[in-house]
Amino acid sequence: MNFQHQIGRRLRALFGRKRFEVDLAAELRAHLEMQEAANRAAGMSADEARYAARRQFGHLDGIKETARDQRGWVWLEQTLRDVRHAGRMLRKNRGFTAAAVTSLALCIGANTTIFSMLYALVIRPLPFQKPGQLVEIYNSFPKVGMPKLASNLGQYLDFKKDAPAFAQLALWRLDDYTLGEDRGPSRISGAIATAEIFELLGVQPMSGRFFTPQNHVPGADKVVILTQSFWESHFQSDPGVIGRTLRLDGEPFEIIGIAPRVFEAFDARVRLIRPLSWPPGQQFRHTGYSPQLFGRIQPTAGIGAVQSQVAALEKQYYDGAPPETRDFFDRTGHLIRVDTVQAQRAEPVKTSLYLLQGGVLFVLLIGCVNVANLLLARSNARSGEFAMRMALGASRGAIARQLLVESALLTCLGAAGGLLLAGSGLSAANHFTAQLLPDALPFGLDRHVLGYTAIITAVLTLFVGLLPVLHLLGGNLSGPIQIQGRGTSAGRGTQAVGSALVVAQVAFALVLLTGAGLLIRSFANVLAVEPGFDPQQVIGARIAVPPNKEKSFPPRLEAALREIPGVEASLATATPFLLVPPYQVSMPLGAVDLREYALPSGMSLPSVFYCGATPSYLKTMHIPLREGRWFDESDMGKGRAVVVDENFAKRYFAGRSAVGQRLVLNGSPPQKDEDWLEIVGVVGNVRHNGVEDKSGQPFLYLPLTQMPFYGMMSVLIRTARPVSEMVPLLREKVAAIDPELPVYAAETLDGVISGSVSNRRGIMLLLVSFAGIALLLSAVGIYGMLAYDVSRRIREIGIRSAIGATRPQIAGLIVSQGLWKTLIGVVLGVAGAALLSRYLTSLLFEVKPIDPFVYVAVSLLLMTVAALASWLPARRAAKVDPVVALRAE
Amino acid sequence: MPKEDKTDLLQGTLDMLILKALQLEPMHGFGISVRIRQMSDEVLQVEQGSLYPALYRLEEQGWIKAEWGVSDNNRKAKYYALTAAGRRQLEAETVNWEKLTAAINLVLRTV
Repeated sequence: MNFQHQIGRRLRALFGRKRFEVDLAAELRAHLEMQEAANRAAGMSADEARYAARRQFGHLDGIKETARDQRGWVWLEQTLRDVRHAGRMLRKNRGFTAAAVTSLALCIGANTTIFSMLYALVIRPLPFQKPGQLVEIYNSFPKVGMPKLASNLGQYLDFKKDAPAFAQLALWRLDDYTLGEDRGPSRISGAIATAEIFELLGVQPMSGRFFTPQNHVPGADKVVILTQSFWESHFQSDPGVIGRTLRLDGEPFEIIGIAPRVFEAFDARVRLIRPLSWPPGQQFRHTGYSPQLFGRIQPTAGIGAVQSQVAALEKQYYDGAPPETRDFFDRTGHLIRVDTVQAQRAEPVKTSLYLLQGGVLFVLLIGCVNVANLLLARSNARSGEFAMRMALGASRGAIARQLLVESALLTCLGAAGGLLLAGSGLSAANHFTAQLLPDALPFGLDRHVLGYTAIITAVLTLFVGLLPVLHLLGGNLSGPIQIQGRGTSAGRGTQAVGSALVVAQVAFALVLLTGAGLLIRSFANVLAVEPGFDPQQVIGARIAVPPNKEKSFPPRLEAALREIPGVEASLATATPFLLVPPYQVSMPLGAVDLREYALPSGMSLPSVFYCGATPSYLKTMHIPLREGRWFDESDMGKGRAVVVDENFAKRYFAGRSAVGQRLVLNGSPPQKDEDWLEIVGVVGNVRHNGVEDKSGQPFLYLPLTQMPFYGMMSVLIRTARPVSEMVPLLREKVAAIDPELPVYAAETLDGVISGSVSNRRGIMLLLVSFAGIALLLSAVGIYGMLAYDVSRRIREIGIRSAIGATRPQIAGLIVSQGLWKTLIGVVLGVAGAALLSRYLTSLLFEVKPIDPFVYVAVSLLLMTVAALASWLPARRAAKVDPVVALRAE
Repeated sequence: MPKEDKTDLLQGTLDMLILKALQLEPMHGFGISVRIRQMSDEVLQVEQGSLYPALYRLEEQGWIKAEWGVSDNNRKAKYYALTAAGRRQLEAETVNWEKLTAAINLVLRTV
């Protein structure tokens, strides 16, 4: 018969129960009446006919019962009945239900939140065809602590020609532009790329066309592709935008196409893409590392094959390269590497997210132990009920099913609460990481995340539900009904399992607390690091300055800023600590040749981070001068003077003065004496690359006029005025000089420093809150176990106090029970933490994974909390009145 | 307890008998039990305790369908009618039954 029809009928049977009952009763009554009529027709008296009919008919309810079982899904009906029953049980014990559901919701919510971030950032495949074939080719310099630098035109052209393992290769570089328009200039992010990038990602233009290799030639490169979001937000989805002109950095570009939204999954910051161009027919060096090189590998090629092909080509280049290049490659330990784009993207966040996921799993374990313990205690308390039901004919299976359904109902409620929590957690995460991790946003509850939630809920149900069932099946419930939980030390086994669960809980909590403690110490260490300048009352802002205005604009701005009273201003090429997207500054790293310094063989080429600054910089930033002098106005013009930091002086001129030494930056030693740069001063170390920069690289300052801006400069203003007042003033001054230059990323340096550690702070706060939840849950666990124990041992306690135990003795008995279990848990936890904490190493800052202070502190904390949690039931035990306790039985 | 003049029904044959009883026209439960008795010359007696569960089972299988109607003496009664699937089932079961009885006869005769 038709399957759908059958389903429909069964559903009707399931839900049309009332009607069914009425129908059945009417039908059977009709039968009886007909039988009665037939009997009378056969000559019986009225009464006789009725009785005979009844007799012939048999047991009416029995028939109904059997008839009922013929229809519908009996098991489903029974389950629904169980659910209703479980619902009633849960409503009856509101306190228990609230405790269990809240614990579960917290655990499941935290798990779902972190997993959806982990999924979005690490696991989710990129939304392009065969994302596993997408690779990035990059250069690594392990000997100088640079594991990943981008690539260059030379490598792109050579690999394209000679590495058949690639289906496509494309260069890609992020770039900021000043968008010139009537509303005033604004700064937007874009990318310069080679034309293969579209084919490589497998995207088609949403409208118009993409650029082609013909646009790789200077002169043909003034075209631009918009992303869909930019087209929608900036051009209000105007279909006529193709063919129009867009002014970028003052130059006209023709809009030729629109890239679909999927393209933004590659980089969400990018608003427009323009072609890279280079003079044709020329050889390019394999040095300089600015654009990223992406490739799609042939379906037949493995990543290993690709790796060996590029390594061979790089070796070929090395063999034919000039000696300086070979020397540079040798000293830096240069390697070329290939890795999937997916892995490269996940790399920076992977460790923290796996750490957090581990943390929430621990929380889940603890919460789940709590709920299991609660259920176990309850099923123990209900053993009388179960014995009664079994005596009345319920099978063990039926009771087990009932218990499982109750647990399932609890976990499902917990999961629902958890999803609600996760929803708000994720909207908070979206809010806070909007700038930090734009590619993966927004985090959401998609089907993979919901699947994960469903899986943990199912596992949870099995775990917390099976424990009471096992206890039920193992227990002797056929024993006399009168032996009910109260008064007897029921179920030694249960008690042992309960204790073991509490010990486990404490151990898990300790591991989590240790992790949180280590991160807190790291964060404190990070904050304690001196930045090397005084950030208070200094405001930093970035101004986009195109190359043709580098010379003319800065002096005019300086003059304009001098007119503002009560303000000390200076200009530089970089703002220190501006490390987080979207406006992060990457400090250039340069090679120096020192005239009077013999480089020991095998030692890497001296390299420095450097930036340009004006004469007022030292005073604005409050950086101490150690030796010699800082720049003055005359240095700005001549540009032969440089200033180094103490790191530099100590590394290369230990024991003698660095002042007066000659050097050359990024070039070969000059012939003429006056072409060397001269060190005129030494200043204190400044952590330009953030407090966590461990490279220990020396730093060098150039006069502002001697350094290219790469499109942007910083203005630093020491003032007592608030940002809200100062920044508009600054914008006004800039606009008065040149209305085409946008001012952006304006913030106090305190804010910049705080922002530079925001990632670390976020991870720490999350782990600390997980540890807090864990601590709370274990306290509840200890309390619950002892409270239950006390309530069961009232009689014993009554006897003890009747024969002379004092109140403190009784309280001590209970507290010591709690503390012993905690102590065992702490010992196990410390061992576990010692084993696991090394996975944290990369996230720690000047703290060893085995830091005695942290271990002792968290152990004490946990013991204190356990003592508090034990004290409440102990107090209750001590208050037991022996007379009442003994009479109660 | 063995009865002398009335035979207990073999498991599974009741379904066939009900379908057979309904072959000519729709009938209510009481009618079916009377018809089976008549068809078997008073040998086969259907217990109500088996009849109604069987009717619900057959309805569940989709072999018969039920409808409320009015009986000869103006009483409200539930009438059961064969469906097309029920008719096919009856044919199949009849064939099976004939094979089975033939086989049993064969066995009985040889012993």
